[in-house]
Amino acid sequence: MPQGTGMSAVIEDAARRSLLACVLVLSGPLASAADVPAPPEDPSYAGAPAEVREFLVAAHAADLIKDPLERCLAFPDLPGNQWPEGMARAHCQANHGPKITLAQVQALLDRDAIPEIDALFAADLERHFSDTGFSEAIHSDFDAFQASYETGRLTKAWLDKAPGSAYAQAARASYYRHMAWQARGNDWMRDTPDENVVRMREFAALAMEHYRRATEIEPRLLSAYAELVNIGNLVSDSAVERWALQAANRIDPACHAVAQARMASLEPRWGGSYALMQAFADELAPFAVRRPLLALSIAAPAVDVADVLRDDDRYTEAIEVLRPVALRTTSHGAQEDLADSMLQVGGDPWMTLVHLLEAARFRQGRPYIVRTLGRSLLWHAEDPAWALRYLEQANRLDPDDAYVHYLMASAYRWLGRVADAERHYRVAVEDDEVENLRRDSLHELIATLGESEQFEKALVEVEILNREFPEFAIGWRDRFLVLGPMGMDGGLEAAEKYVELADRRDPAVREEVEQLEREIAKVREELDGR
Amino acid sequence: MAGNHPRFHCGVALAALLATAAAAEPENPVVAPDEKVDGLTQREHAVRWWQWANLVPPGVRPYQDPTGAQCGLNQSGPVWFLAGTDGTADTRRHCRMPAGKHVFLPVINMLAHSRPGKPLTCQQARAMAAANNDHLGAVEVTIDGQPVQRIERFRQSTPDCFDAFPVAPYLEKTGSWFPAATDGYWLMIRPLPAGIHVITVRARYDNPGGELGDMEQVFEYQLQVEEEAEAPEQPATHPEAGTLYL
Repeated sequence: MPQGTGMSAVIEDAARRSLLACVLVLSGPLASAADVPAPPEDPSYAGAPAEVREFLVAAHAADLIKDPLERCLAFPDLPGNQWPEGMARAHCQANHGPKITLAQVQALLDRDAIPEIDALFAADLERHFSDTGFSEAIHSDFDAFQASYETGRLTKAWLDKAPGSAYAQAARASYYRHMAWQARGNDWMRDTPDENVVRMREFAALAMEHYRRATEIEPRLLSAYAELVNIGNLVSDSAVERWALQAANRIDPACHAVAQARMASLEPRWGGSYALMQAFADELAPFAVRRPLLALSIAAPAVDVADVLRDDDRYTEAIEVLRPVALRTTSHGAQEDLADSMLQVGGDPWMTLVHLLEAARFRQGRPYIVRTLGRSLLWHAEDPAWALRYLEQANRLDPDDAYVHYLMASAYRWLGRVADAERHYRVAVEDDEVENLRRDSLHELIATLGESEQFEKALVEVEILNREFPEFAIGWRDRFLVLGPMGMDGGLEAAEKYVELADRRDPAVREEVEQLEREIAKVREELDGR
Repeated sequence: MAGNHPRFHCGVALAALLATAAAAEPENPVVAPDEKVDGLTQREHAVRWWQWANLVPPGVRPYQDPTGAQCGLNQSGPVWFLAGTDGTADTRRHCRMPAGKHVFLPVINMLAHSRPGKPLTCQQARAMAAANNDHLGAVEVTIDGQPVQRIERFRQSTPDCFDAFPVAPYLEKTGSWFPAATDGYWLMIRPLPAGIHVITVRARYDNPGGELGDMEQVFEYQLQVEEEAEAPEQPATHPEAGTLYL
């Protein structure tokens, strides 16, 4: 009878559901094997060598300090380093010390306090020539004047009000210099469109004009000479470069900013040579005792050699060049490149992390490096909270990077912040560029929703995962883990599908699958016996 | 019949008088704001203008041009685009262009668009683009010394949003930059005769507290209009530059 047949089917389904629930209870360890261990309350970095563990604990503590200079100063130095005395402190002060900001200048400009703006810069310039209170702050003071709309407007207004100010001239020049670099772009010259090159030259000419005026008004303004060297190199104007270098050397032959600009112009890619770079490094060496930041320029030839090796994917050789540089100087570029090279060849992950952190101590890296640091803190150091500091930074630098969203979601999931995890997984699943990112994000989103017992929402994602990736074994495992608690049909079949597709070459998977197979057999036996 | 003669002569005289008056008053060089050019409304030209401006990356954009030397870049079709500034410099440009083309020129305007991490709805983009244009401050435009009157008549806006970056090879993902809306004051100038022409623009918003609510435009074009034979060789254009993306 149709009615009876129907009734028996319902009874059988109920039995299967309850038996499947048994499977799920029995396979409790399966569910908890879903990828993410419980977060350590106080990360101990237990797997790290003692020296690295000590470094990580101290670095973690330093990273909690909000003031950038205090953070940098509190950071532990690279284990085993032979940095010149005072170099780390000088590097911290150069990159994170107090400097004049756009907001500060704007506020003074808004109330026409032109002499006060000049006084701010003049005080820092004097410190560059002081034996007792020496500081390189005057160079950092111009860092704020980038190729931004705000800088363009501010420097225009400042210059309109104070055309006789060397600092207004230099600030406007800095804006144009950055505009020139922006027009130039980051491609090789052969790949750079003509219109970019023409525009670069137009802005460079304006920058040179304003730097020249600045040095006429304040001949000791070393930052202006340093940037004239930089621009002269950019537009291949060796006369400007030579003039600026000579003028700067008469004022201070040990100026770090001028040395850095000069060393960059001696790189082979800019028409120089390693012999010229080394000769200049030898000239600088005697000054390095009293000006430790010069060690950065002295190390530049080796850093450039490594850069060229890395361009040719010769990472092992690059590591050999960079390792001693990282031990002898605080160069964040060397630390970053060393870490990245180690990643490329599968080097010691703990030391990779140490170098990434040491680089981040001195300067925020490019988005890829920040992301890599966040990932390393997440997956290797197993410290999701610390990882988020850098992943959030990476997200600010490149909001479109779906992989960063995936990593952030994983960190939030680990910390039990389900809503935040879900939000970022949902961005990551939209990605169509990174291989398997959509698939893996769907899987982890399902697991996250399952962990918080949001089975109906999880089921929606399961349907998508199974439809789009039918050969993905884990997707079928997700399906039976979701269907079981919901008491819905199809769980047993999903478990069987998982068993069929699972890759048993992995011993952990094989063990799990074999256990599941036994449970499935019991269920089938029991169903057959009814 | 004789009675008709005076009337006849009077009519001829009147016609001659009118013709003389017309010849004495030159044709207005500015196209009426609701008049189409090349089959497109001026609102549609404003969309094309932004797509043209964004063909190149920041730093190379036409409104950042300090000299005018590259004013021919990516120009195509019967309308020649000139650019204002982004308010960061008072600019004097020298621009060579071929005769026989209309000139489309922004007096002052805004573009609002989504960007990575900062998505906008079309409604939000339109509101942002409009905000300052509801508060046009002092404005002065001259063409060869002749002021253009009542600039406020020349406001154009885009009720339907558009893609301001349809061809932007320098962007990794253009999808994050959609939608966009523009609003502002634009002039479509009839083809100018060969020779040097000077166009000056001074305009500012008067919207205290608003984002860019005090933006100011001060720029001058020395426009060298040349007959075809003497027109400059144009820099290579992007292949898609002539396509209209609406």
